[in-house]
Order: sequence, then C-alpha cells, then structure tokens
Amino acid sequence: MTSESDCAVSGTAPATRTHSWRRRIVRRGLAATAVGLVLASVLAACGTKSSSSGGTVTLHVQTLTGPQAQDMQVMAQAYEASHPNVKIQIDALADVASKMPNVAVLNGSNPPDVGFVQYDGGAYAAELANNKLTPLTDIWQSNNLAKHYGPSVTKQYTVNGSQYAVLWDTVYIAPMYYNVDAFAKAGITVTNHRITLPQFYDAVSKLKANGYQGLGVGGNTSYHLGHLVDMLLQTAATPAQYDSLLTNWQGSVPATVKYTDPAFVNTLQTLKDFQSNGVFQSGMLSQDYTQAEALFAAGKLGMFMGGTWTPSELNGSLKVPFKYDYILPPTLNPAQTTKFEGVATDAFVLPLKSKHPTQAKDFLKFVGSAQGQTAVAKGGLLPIFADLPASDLTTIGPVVSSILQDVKTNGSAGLWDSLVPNTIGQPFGVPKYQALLSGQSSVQQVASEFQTELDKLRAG
Amino acid sequence: MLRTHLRRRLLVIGALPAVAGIALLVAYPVVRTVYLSLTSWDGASAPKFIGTTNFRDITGQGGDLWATVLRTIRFSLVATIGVMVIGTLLAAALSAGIPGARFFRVVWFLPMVVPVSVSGVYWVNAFQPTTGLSNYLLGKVGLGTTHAWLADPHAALYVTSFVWVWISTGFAMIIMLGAMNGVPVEIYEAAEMDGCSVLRRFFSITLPVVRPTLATVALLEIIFTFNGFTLIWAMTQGGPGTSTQILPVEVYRQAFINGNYGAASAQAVVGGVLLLLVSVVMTRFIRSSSGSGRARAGLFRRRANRSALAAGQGIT
Repeated sequence: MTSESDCAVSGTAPATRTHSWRRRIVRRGLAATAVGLVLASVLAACGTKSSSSGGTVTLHVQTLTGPQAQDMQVMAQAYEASHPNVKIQIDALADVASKMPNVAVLNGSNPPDVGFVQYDGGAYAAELANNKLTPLTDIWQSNNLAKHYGPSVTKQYTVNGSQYAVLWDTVYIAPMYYNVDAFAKAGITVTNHRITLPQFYDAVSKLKANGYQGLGVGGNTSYHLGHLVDMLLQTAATPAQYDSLLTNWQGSVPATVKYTDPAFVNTLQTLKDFQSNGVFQSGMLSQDYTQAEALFAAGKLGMFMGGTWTPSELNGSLKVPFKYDYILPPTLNPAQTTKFEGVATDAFVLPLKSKHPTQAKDFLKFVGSAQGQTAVAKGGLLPIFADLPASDLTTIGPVVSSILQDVKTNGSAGLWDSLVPNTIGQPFGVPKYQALLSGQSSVQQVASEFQTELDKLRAG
Repeated sequence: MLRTHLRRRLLVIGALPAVAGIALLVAYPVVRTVYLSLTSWDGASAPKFIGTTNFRDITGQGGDLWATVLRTIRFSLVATIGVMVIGTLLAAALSAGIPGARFFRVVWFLPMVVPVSVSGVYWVNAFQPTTGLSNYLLGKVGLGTTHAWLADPHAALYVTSFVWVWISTGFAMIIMLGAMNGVPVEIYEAAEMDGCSVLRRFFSITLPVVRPTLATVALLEIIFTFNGFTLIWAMTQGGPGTSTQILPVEVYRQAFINGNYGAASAQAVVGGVLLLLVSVVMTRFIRSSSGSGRARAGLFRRRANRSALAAGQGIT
C-alpha cells in the first residue's frame, strides 16, 4: 500500500512537474510571440515610408543626389513653412538608381509618396505603359501648367489627353565652361560664346602649350559623351534633318534621314578626331563626370563640358578659385549657329500606391506653382517656368543668367539622345562612342549599329 | 514498427524547415529566372511568354553573348591564376616561418576586408594618368606618367584582373596556409634526410598534398570572378566600350538600364549553366586529386617510417 502510495506520489509528482514545465513553456512561448508581434509592428511602422504621427504627415519624396538634393532641401523648407503639418523626407537616388531600377521601388508595396523619374530613363515610360501612375491632369489645369511649360513640353508629357508628371527644373546642355585665366594666359579670345572647329583646335593647342589639358569630359559616365555627340550632331545635320532624327524612330513618321548618312557619320568622325587630336583630358574614357569636373576645378583643364546645373557645383562644394565663363561646342557647319539643347526630363510622379495621395498631390501642386519654381531657383537650379520674373532668378548666378539670355536670343534645340527611345538613346549610344574612341569600332560600324537599331524600332 | 514510422515522420518534420528554406531561397529564384528567360518583361507589366526568343536573340547575330562569355572567361582565368599563384607562394612563405610571418599574415589578408567598391574606387584613382599612384611609380623608374590604363581597351581587363588579384589573394593565402600547416612534419623531415631541396620539397610534397585544397580554392575563385560585378562596376562599368563587360555586368545593363529583364534572365541562365559545368568538372578533378594527394602523402609517410626505422627510432 505504502509502496502503491509511494508509487502514486512518485508517479504523480513528475506528471505535475511536466505539466507545470509545459505551462511555463507555453506561457513563455506566448509572451515571446506577443513581444515578437509588438516588435514586428514597431518595425513595420518604422519601415513604412509614409508615416503620420501627432497630426503630422511625413511625405517621402524622391530626388537625385547632388545639386538636385540640395535644391530639394530648399523646396522642402519652403513647402514646410506654409504647411506645418507636413514634413518632407527626401529620398536621394543616384542617377542610375532613378532609372529602370526605380520601377521596382515605385511599384513596390512601400513606394515613396512622390516619385522622381527622368523622361528618358525608362522608368517613366514603363510606369505609364502599365498604368501605375495617378493622373495629375487636375494640377495641370488648376496651375495652368501647359502655359508655363510651353507647347513642346506639354506635348511631350501628354498621354491620351492626360498628364502624369509635374516637372521640376529645366536643363540646358552642353556649355563648355572655360577657365578665363587660362584662356587669357594662352591668348585665346572668345566672341559671343561661339567657336568654330579650327578655332577650337587652335584653342586646345594653345592651352596645352601653356600647361593646361584641353576639354574635360566624363567618358565613363552614362550620359556625358552622349551630350557632346548631341551638340555636334545639331550642326552636322541641317535643322530639318535634326528634327527628323528626333522623331523618325516612329514607324508612322517617314524616315528621311539615316544614321549612315553624312550628318551622323561626320559627327562620329569629329568625335574620333577630337580623340586623335588630344582634345580630351588624358584618360578621359576611364574618368567620370565628377573626376573630370574636379580636374577642371583644380585648374588642370582649360575647359569642362557641363550643363546649367554645373555652376552650382563649381561655386558650391568645389569652390573654384578662378573666374569661368562658357562657350558652346564648335559648330560643324559655319552657316549654322550652335544652340543650347534644352531638356525637361526631371519630373515628379504620384505612384498609384502612394500612402498619402492627397498630401502628395498638394506638394506637387506647390512644385508646379510660381512659389515652388522660385524655390527651385533659390536652390541653384533653373526653373522649368520660363515666365518667372527676373527678380526671382537672381540666385542662379551670372553665368546661368547669361545662358538663359543666350537661349532667349538664339533659341534652343531638342536633346536628341534623350528624346529618342533608350534602344538608340544614351544607354545604347554611350558604350558605342566609347568603343569608337578606344579603337574597338570604326565610325562606319557605329553608324551601322545605330541604323540597325533604328530599323528594328521602326519595324516595331 | 511504430517507432520506426514515428522516427521517419520526425525526420521528415525536422527536415521541413531546411527544405522550405532551400525551396524559398534557392529553388524559387532559379525556377523564376528560368521562367523569366522565356518571357518578355519590362519589370512593371506582367511577363509575356515568348518561348526561346530571348535565347535566340542573345546568341544570334547582333547579340554579343559569346563575346561576353569569352571576356568573362578571360577575366576569370587571369584573375584566378594570379590569385592561386601568388596566394600559394605567400602561404608557402608563411608556412616556412619567414620573419614577421604573423604580421604579414594580417597585412596580406587586409585587402580582403576592405569593401570591394572602396577598393575599386581607390584603384581607379591609382591608375589615372599623371595623378595616379601607378603612373607616379612608373615615372620614378623612367617609364612615363601618362599611361591611361583604364581607358585602353587592351589593358583595362588586365588592370581589373590585377585589382581582383590584389583583393582576393589574402583569401586564397589563408586557406592554403591552413592546408600547408596540415602536412605532417615527418614527411618534410624524411625528404630533407633524402637530400631534397626546398624547391623540390615544395613541388614534390607541399603542392601534391595540398592539391585538393588548391583545386577547391580555384573553383571558388572561378565562381567569384564569374560573378565579379561589384569590382567591374566600381572601376569601369564595363567600359571603355565593352572591353570589361563581363557577364554579370551585361546582365545588369540589360535588366536595369535597358529594362529588358527577359534577355537579362536568359543571359543569367546561360552563365549559370556554364558555371555549373565548370563546377562539375572541377569537383571531379578535386575528387581525383584528393586521391592522388593522399597517395603521395602516404608514399612519403612510408618513406619517413622506413627512414626512421633504419635510424632505429621506430616511428609508427
């Protein structure tokens, strides 16, 4: 009996201990799960791009790194000042990241409230083709953007009668900024910011004789050589041929000009001649835009090819110790005047999955207003509004003001390799120019490759 | 019977998380990539099935897949041979106990610790004409300061291979050192008693014995270099032209610059199959060399035993 009792005791005790042990495990498990859930919620809340707390909404706005990010700071401050319940969080993207890789971000489960796209970067076209953007036609109408942007930009951004982007700034390419002291030392004089091809070669040799290298270009950058080809092509072709090249990738447009025609072939040949005649800085193909720009700022180069955003870099972080001005790349046809090429590629879009579409739209409305555009100028970039009063543009500096005046006087042309599809635009072209300049391809080969791609595009 | 059944069920349940992990992290991406290679996809719309068109496009006229593959093989061979030769020599030097071995072991491994993109940026600057370190040094010995190494399509691939060797040699050295330190000392002693020189010992004992490790490291290096996107992108982005455009760079360009994810997936599939073939061949080689390495070690061990017996020391 005793033994039975003992057995009973000894038999129940472990069972009780087991149950208690199990209960403890279950309790701990539940507690751990609860903690885990709380942590997950907190992390999820932190990870959510758009957040609202205490009545303040944080809008995530994409932009580019560099001068654009600085400009956006000014824009954000101006907006926040008049909208105390909104905080702008800037998500700065590298140039490449803002193109096709951005498609995944804009379509993801946690997209920015306001996306940044470049017209020629591929992401905008992909988003449009797949109906992933919210129409912004109401902003265009309320802010009368068609009038401010002008007919060509309006046509560019109108799809089936609707608009899906609000533009930020405008860019003019490709001034060749020159070191005024170096030019003076070398005895080079410039008239009216223009130069002929023989004068250009002469200027380069004079610069070299005075210890400077010629023209700085970021041969390794995805767009820089493309800008030079663009500018040369503008005068290698007649205005009618150039206009045709901007649109003849569409099957419905008659193909009156080929890439194997003299206009494009001469452009490529001139590029090749630049290389053979030592126009570029040494190692150009292995250097990017910023490296070439740094060499110019360090006083080693006589010239550096840039855009209207460049002075904000030269005067800002680089603090160039010398005076600079600009000339345009040489004309290939003395009967034609080289014009600046204007491009309105930097645009903001509203992803369909934006967490705060109402606030995001309000911000875009601000970007597309005179107040927003004045903020763009304050930040150092060139506003897309062509009709802002001169008093709002005092912050852009004398060189960019001079460029604007030049555009007003001489007009501007479209940027060929940004307006044609990517398959014959910058992503296709720049590696071909590199191959040409490094001796891997001939002028005729590159021209034929362009024509083959054009034929494919036209065939659909 | 019941116990066996229960045990099997437990084994299956126990293996499930690992199987699920492999399915999610390995099988799904592979299957998805193969599927995407058979579609036309811009990254935003629904992929459209187009059969083998992508494969025909990338291998046909106008597609430069084979040129890219050859370039990748060239980069991989140059870099792997460089890493293996220098890594093995450094490991042998450390294993032989050169003065300051501990210090050098750390110093020679350091490049492996530096992020590849940082190394890339450093070397891009170092190879610049006039201002770069390499040209400065060449200038000091009268060989000129204006060499534009990375702008020269004939030199760029070798320059990037050199930087890969600089980065990766430490890894090979550490692994090889471990293998060399595992070679029994008595074998060297026997060889020394037989009058073998240092070089003879290295080529007749060290190398044959560590050959399986050597082959494994070589296989890893081939895989690493085939996937060496970061360094190339940081240094040249595939340029000038296509002179350093290896397969992963081309895949990136197709997908993220041209928005042609289908063709990019097809290129990735071809690259994956190639690597798989290389891996199979190398694995077979490792197995066979493992056997011959052991046999050679056994031969020297028997010789060592005989020598020791002859000396009356009775080593077993």
